[in-house]
Amino acid sequence: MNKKLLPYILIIPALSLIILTIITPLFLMIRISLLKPPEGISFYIPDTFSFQNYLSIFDAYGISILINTIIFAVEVTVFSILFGFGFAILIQELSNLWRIICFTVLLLPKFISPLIVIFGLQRLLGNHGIINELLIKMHLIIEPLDLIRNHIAALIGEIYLTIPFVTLFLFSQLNSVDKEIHNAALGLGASNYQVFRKITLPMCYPGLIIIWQLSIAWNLGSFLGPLFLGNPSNATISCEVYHQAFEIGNWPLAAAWSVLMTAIIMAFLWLPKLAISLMFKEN
Amino acid sequence: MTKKIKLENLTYCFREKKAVDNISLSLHSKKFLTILGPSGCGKTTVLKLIGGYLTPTKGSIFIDDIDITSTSASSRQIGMVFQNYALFPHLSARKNISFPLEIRKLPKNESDKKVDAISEIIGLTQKEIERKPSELSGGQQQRVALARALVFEPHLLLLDEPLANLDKTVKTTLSNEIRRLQRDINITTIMVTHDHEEALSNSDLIGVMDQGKLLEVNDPKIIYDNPNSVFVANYLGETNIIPANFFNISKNGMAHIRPEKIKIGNQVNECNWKKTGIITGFTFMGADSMINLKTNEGVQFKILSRDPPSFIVGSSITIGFDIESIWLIPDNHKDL
Repeated sequence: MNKKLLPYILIIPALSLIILTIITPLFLMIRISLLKPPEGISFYIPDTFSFQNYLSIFDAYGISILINTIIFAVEVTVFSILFGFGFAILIQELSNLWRIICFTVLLLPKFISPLIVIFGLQRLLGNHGIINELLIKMHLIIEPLDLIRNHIAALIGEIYLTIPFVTLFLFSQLNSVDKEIHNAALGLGASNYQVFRKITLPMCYPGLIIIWQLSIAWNLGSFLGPLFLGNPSNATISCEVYHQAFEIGNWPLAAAWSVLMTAIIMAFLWLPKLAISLMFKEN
Repeated sequence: MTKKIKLENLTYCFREKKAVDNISLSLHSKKFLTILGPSGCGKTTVLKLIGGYLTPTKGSIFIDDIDITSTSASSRQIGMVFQNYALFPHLSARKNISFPLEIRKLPKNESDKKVDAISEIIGLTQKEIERKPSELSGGQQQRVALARALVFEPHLLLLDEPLANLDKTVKTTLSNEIRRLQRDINITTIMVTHDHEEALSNSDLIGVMDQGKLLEVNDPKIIYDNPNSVFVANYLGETNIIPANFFNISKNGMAHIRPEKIKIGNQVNECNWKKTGIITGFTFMGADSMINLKTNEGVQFKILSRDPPSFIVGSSITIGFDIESIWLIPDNHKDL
């Protein structure tokens, strides 16, 4: 067989899968988003062409959803990285056995469906949830606390889903910093804090940028947390897509939202790269 | 600024095993000590104990008679060059070198002056120190690590196998330069290596370690010619260790003579001890050649000769030396 051809042949299975499951639906979605919205019981009016859906996104309600989504994703990412980095640093200090135990506990929720995890949190925090029932039984409160159906609960849900990956990733980053480099910095007079601030942290920057990007990309598509733990004012683009597609039945508008979300995610993935290339230009 | 150092009964246990076993030694200010030993003998552990990266199980470390055993690594004022250099990969060579000055909050212009001065002494060009470590060669990285360890004028310099990762040619140059530098800066230095040539060429004192124990500390010349154990004799280079009674000396134990002390050819006539044997091996090594010889009694000798005639393996020659140049190894060390 021709050796030059081999790479192309090997790439065919993966490529056809990507074309089938990602590229084709994306183009279909773009096409649907340019159809006229439905009248009556249909989902769309076929063989039409209009930018109407995109225009109707940018009303006051649409913009608030847009801003909500971005702020929510940034919040989840910032807190996940802060706590995840903290966990990673703590776990690094532990013995091998405790490291395994910590990671098992941390990753266990990842073995079950995120939907079940979110329902679990609902059951834990809800008005008749474990925490409220317990507090009432202990006569600490009379009325159940509103632990759910708010912004914080939505955040907790999504952070809970994001943090295992962040921790695992940052742990491997921290571990790649040679122990001797840490020792060298100590021997040169640096305190533990200075070693972290001037050596360990800067050496983790590339990893932090990558995990920032991944986490933003995941959480711009946040759905379960805002839908099941938040209140309607926390709705994200995904919630709106769900609402338009399955509750109202306006496929063109749902598709327009989806296209917009894809564009925002891509923009956020390019942003750090752009920032870095600009930084290097300055030098 | 440079200080003397003393170790007292230094012991370090790792998983019930004594990695460093009751080591005591003292090194005068401005002297160069090399700790020599096979890998796993605990020599690097000794350095890490002195540097403060490990806490001794027992014993104490003194710098100028001040006990620093419980002082943290960051306040010991000891410069260390790690075996893999441990340069900070995200910082330029200049930032690496100025790191200890930055920590000590030295003003920028003073710090720059010091970095430039030490770089010049060590032989790093202005262009080189603006690069990242990954853009420098092994030898240059080594120089950066040295500069970084010296720039803050430490009490003591520790070198962990500084030449192990370098090419043979760079090795010799750097080895000489380390010694020159140590003399110029006048800093008390402890180096660790497994290479006896490095140890012999550089040091004021050589300490030989095996299995956590410090077997002997002595002047290079003395430890080379008159070692106090078979292990030390063997570790410092090729040698002949032969039962003393073979030479009709009325003593038990082992006699020791270096291969280059044994004479062949015309020079044998002046010797007061002679023996004839059969050549069993011949190795040409450039300047010298190594001859293996077996006497009629079955005793093996190694002879290092500057200009050997063309010997044929299997031919018979006479070797000789002054019986006074035999050294009787005083101990009854078990392994030969």
